[in-house]
Amino acid sequence: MEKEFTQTQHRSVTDVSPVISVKHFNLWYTDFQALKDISLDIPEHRATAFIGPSGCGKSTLLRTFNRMCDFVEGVRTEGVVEFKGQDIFKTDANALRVHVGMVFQHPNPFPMSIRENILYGPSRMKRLSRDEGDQIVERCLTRAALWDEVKDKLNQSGLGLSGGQQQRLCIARALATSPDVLLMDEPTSALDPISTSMVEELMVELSHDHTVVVVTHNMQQATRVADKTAFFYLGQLIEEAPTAELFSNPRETRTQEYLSGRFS
Amino acid sequence: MAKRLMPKKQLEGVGLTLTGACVLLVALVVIALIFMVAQQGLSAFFVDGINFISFITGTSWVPSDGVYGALPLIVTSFGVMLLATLFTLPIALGSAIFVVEVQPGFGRRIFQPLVELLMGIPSVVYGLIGLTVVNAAMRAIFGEAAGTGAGILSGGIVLAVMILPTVTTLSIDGLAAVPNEYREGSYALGCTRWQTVWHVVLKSAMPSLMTAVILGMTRAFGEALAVQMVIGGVEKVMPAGLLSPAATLTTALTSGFSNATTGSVQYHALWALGLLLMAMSLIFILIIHLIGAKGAKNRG
Repeated sequence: MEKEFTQTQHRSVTDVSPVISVKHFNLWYTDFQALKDISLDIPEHRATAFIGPSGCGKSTLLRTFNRMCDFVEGVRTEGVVEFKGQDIFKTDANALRVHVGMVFQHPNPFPMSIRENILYGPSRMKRLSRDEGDQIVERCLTRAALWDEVKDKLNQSGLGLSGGQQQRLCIARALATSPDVLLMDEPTSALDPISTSMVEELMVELSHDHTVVVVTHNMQQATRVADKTAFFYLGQLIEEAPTAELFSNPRETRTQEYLSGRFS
Repeated sequence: MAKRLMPKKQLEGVGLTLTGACVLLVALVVIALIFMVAQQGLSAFFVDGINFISFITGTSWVPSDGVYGALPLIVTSFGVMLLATLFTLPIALGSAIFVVEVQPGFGRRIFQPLVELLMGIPSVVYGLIGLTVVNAAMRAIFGEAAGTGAGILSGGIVLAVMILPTVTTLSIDGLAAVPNEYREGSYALGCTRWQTVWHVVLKSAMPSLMTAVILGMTRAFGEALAVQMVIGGVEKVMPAGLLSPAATLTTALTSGFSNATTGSVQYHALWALGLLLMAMSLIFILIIHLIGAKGAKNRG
């Protein structure tokens, strides 16, 4: 029996220090300005949701946090994004990505065994003994609520799992490098309702000792998961507030209109 | 509107018959071909009484004296094929990686069409270039030891150049078919481009890369003309080294047939070589299919 999952208590986001800090940030794809003068703090060990209609820039901002946007041709940025006080554009992108992990919209396990998938990140950084490997695999899979389902088939291909299991495997894989921040780009949009609810529960749990930033199309998901929510529209940050406040008492008319479904 | 020539139903029937006949024809050709080669080749053993074991293991091939030991030819054939693969593989793979992972625009628009152009060059041209350039280079590098410059090494080099376009372009296609999501996943874990290429891209492209290599090997194994021009091709005993002139299964066939009377033992022995070649090619194709099936299974 699957229990309906709701986060009972949103945690305070005002008295928490930010782990990522965005200051007057602009981003262009060649001539198109995708982000306009964004200033925003991501509170540490909290879950933050980015909502907004398609093309509003929420995914672009998320992909800026681990500099995945670097791979887009013709991308140009202005302004500062700080991770733990350091300008991310002045640090090594690969080192940054070890600390800022990412889960994608479509589950993308590598065509390798479950074990190899988990150990992929850690073994690029240092040589692992069999024991160390076993420990990482068990810790991450347990953390991603997948251990019981796969512990007997760790050497089977990750592609043999169901969609929901694959997504949790990807979460476990991201956890294996012990990141501080976990970026999730619409992580449940390709999943069935039961898997979605499992992943949502996971996001809340993980947000107790990781910073979780999730982009979502699903407003209910934001209320269920996030302590803080930011609403984007046409490349601008319209409003950011503790989730309960933003949903019950939005200040901006555009937020009100979006929340009431007047555009999407 | 044009007048319909036949009632629709009848037209359907004609289409079915025509396409079906084509399939039948292709199947017939394949079966007839295999049957003929097998029949002619096997008569060397069953009619002319050549011992199959001594045919495979005999170390000298002198048809005019009635000595039919094909081992030197088999060894040379595999030798040039492996040499060609050894030379080609790193270059093909290296350029494929550059083209797909580093400069996709240049690679797809300029490099790959250029390489595909090379595939259309007739093998006799490769042979001609080999004869003038490779053999001369052998003489210049190894001096006396290289003799005329004709030998297994020259054959391997010419074949390497010949199969390079095939292996390269198939490798490019193989790497390009790796889903971008795998690369993104690897980068997102903090891996560098080369870690990503090595551990994710090459690994998941392995079945198509293997296919590329084996197709190249098949072509190298079956090539006759270009090899004949640079390898010497008249030798009768086991090759002593990479520089010694030798004959492959294919060159023994092409050079032997002009001297063989139809229906003679020598004639049948040459068909037996053909049978051997065909069997090897079938095995290569079978391996490709097995790899393909395994790849499909891994992809779930």
